[in-house]
Amino acid sequence: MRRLLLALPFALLPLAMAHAADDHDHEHDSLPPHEHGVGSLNVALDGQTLELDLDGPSMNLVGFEHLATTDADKAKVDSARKQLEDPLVLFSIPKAAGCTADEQELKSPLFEPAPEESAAKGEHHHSDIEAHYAFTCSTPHALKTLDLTQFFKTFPGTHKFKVQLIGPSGQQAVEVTAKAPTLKF
Amino acid sequence: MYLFRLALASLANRRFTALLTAFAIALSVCLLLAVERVRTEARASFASTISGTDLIVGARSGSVNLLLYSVFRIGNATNNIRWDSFEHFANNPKVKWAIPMSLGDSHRGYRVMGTSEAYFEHYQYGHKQNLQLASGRPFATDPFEVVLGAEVAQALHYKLGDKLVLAHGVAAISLVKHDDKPFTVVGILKRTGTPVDRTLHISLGGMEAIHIDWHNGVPAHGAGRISADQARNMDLTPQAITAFMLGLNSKISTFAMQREINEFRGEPMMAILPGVALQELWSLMSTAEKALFVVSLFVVLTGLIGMLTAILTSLNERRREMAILRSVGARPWHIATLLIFEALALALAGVIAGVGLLYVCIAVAQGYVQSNYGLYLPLAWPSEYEWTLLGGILAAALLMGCVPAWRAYRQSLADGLSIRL
Repeated sequence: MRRLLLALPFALLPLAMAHAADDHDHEHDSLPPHEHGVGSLNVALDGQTLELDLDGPSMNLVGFEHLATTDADKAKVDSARKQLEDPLVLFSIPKAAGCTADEQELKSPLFEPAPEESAAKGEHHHSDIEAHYAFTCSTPHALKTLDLTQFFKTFPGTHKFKVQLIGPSGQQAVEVTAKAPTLKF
Repeated sequence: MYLFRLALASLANRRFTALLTAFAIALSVCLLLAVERVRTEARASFASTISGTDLIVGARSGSVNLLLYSVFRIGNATNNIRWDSFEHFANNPKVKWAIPMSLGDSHRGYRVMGTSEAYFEHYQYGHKQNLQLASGRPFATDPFEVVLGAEVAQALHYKLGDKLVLAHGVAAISLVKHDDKPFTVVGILKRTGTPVDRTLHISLGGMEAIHIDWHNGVPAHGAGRISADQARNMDLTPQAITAFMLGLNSKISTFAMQREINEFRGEPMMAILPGVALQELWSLMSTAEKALFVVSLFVVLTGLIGMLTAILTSLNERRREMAILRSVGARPWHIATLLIFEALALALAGVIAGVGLLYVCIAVAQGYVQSNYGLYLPLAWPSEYEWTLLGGILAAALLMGCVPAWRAYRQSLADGLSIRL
């Protein structure tokens, strides 16, 4: 019996190895910062192309970070998603600039049809919502500012954006809040 | 309006004190505006220490730290990055150009930077200005050539063809020198007003060559030594560099590239947007900037209080003047208005003279300041903010004029024509 017990670690070794290999992917990555109420926004304008990258804790946008299971939560996620799909309104992009969305992409564990296993594992302590938009603007000169008032109104859970902005006048770091919601290019 | 003329006439009667008072105000106004201009310009010039570079990449640390050692040559890197990581990103299709940087050696207190020819071609500062050579040429294929920044050449009296020896490490006095492999000055850069002026530039091959026979941080002895000529024939591709700068084909891809670098699996690296990091760094210094502004505000306040004192002390001597005015039919409020006008006239003269003085100073010092401090002071009209400041000074003067005006008003009611001796 004792001999058998001694052999146990060796018998289990392949399992442990397999597990380690499975984890390998995650270990080298540092985790991005996650601060409730604060989101990051990257804005780049070059020539006629305008790109917006939004990233923030789901908390800011829907008020929770777990996967939506109840109907009320699902409704919240749906409504947030609908709002995010209308960037021209959300970021008050001036009509005069004539911007049309070329591509937009929303990414979040919350938007995916709940995969049973990850929900069961309870791995998601934090979740983020990412949005990526690309526009082509016919008259980019008319694009002098971006006003996030509408965004802060729609998502009161967001208090602040740390903005990295690249525009005709170079790179800038700006913080926008509900009180000072304007970005100047 | 006649009151204003009367106030001017009265001032003309005391022109010496009036002139001095106006001059004191002029000086303080000039100082305030100068501080304001230098402040805005220092910020702009600080922001234009580096331009045209989309990303700076180094070992993962803090963005300000990376900016400090890669651009300002202050402090040191925590880690180096591998040469193949640099090549990986330099060959990325999104990348237009890449400048490798290798730091860590010095020459008499000035930092030495190992880089490639791309540096002279693509590095930009100010308003997208390229580096220019005052004399000579960039370093070429021979590893033991050095291009000096303007300040280095001037302070250490180097000219083309001079030989110099680099020291290991960055301390001002170093005990370990690379004296077996001297460098020849082949080029001297034009003054930029940026840290480039205080840098010695050598090729990456040169940087590699001076350390080629080093083991465990000390030079080899005896037979282990490799001479400069031997080194010339060896493969001088570096193993590691300190940081690199990237210029991208499209600015739009900056964030995607930044993300790609930050998530690079090969080794932990960090890409920063220099413009963003510069602003972070500047915000650290904003306290000093505010302090300077507050000091100059106090100088203006002093000037205005000087004016107040001058008017107040003159009140006693001018009882007779007031009395005569009263006797010819001036009402007390006429007298009060007269004094307010007087203060306003003094402040206005001070402000105009101050602005004039500022422009004279700028016109005289412009060239000197630009070549020595890299600050470009424009001879432009006052900005909106400066107009507000000037308006604020006039308003403050008006407010202060109310004090003697009130006293004169009270006195002229009580005094009448009788003169008490």
